[in-house]
Amino acid sequence: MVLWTIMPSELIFQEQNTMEQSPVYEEVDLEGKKVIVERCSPNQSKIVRIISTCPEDYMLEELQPGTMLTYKPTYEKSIT
Amino acid sequence: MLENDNPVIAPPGTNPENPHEPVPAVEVPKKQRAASAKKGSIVENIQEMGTTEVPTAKSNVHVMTIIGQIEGHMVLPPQNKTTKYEHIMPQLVAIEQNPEIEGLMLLLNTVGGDVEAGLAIAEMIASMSKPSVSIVLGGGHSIGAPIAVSATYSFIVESASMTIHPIRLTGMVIGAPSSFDYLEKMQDRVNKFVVTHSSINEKKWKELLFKTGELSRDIGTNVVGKDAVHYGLINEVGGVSNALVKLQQLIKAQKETKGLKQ
Repeated sequence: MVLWTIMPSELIFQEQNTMEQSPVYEEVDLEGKKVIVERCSPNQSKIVRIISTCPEDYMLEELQPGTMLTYKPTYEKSIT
Repeated sequence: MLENDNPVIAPPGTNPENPHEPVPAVEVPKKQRAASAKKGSIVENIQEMGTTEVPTAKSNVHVMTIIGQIEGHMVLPPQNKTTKYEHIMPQLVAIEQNPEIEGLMLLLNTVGGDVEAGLAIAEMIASMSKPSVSIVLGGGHSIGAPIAVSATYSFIVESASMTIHPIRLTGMVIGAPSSFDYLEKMQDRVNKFVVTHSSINEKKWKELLFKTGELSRDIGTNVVGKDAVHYGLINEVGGVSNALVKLQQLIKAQKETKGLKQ
């Protein structure tokens, strides 16, 4: 891999301070819309970015960055 | 005779303003409320328009933002803001394939990144049949330059800049001639792409690439707004409105030529 950038490599690959945890980002599918969320607690995530090329998706209120999502595990009945 | 509808002694569970209508018992949880609101709007739609579909303004132009580092084979540490190859490529295919999408607008503010991922994105955009317009906002540095020129028509805002400098392995000593050749070849691939997709000639591009005394940490040039247009790298100085007008023109022109072919 060759990086061609104006950013110095020591800035790109800087060591993370072990005292503060680096944020955990995940890609989540919300009814067909892909968003990147930041894990805040085991069952809560915050939307940080929308991955879409459709300009209208950025206007959707429920996808605005900063919106908190709650993760609820559910049991599913096994179908016999 | 008057009915006793004194609000003070209205029985619990009734609305004092309208005693014949019961008040909603408990506050609906947020999520449920959102769902019921959605249901309400659907009912409204059926009543008013006879459809269940919520009318939304569909845009025939899709937008792609290329920001931060362009990420290819390696996942960069989380403090980097990145544009990922695996997000961009399928989106480009979807845009090319979807008949409802007629044009693509690229918003660039990138510091550069992976050469091969950047070239791949640029080639994909250049090989699309649908017209595309790019706007360089803020910066379109290093590998951002080929991506900016890959669009059918390119714009740069007056304050934006593009750093043009040679590809190198920062902080490493090139020990073997073969590694130098490797970088040289990679540089040639970029040069060829930029020269074929913009009106800059190879001589001028190389002159910008190897200029000394412009950048403090490197050789090369920092090309700002109007200069990029002057060198032929970018087509025009302008912002969103100019770009959208141009894109609609390109879409119209393409429709006309398609009509002639049939």
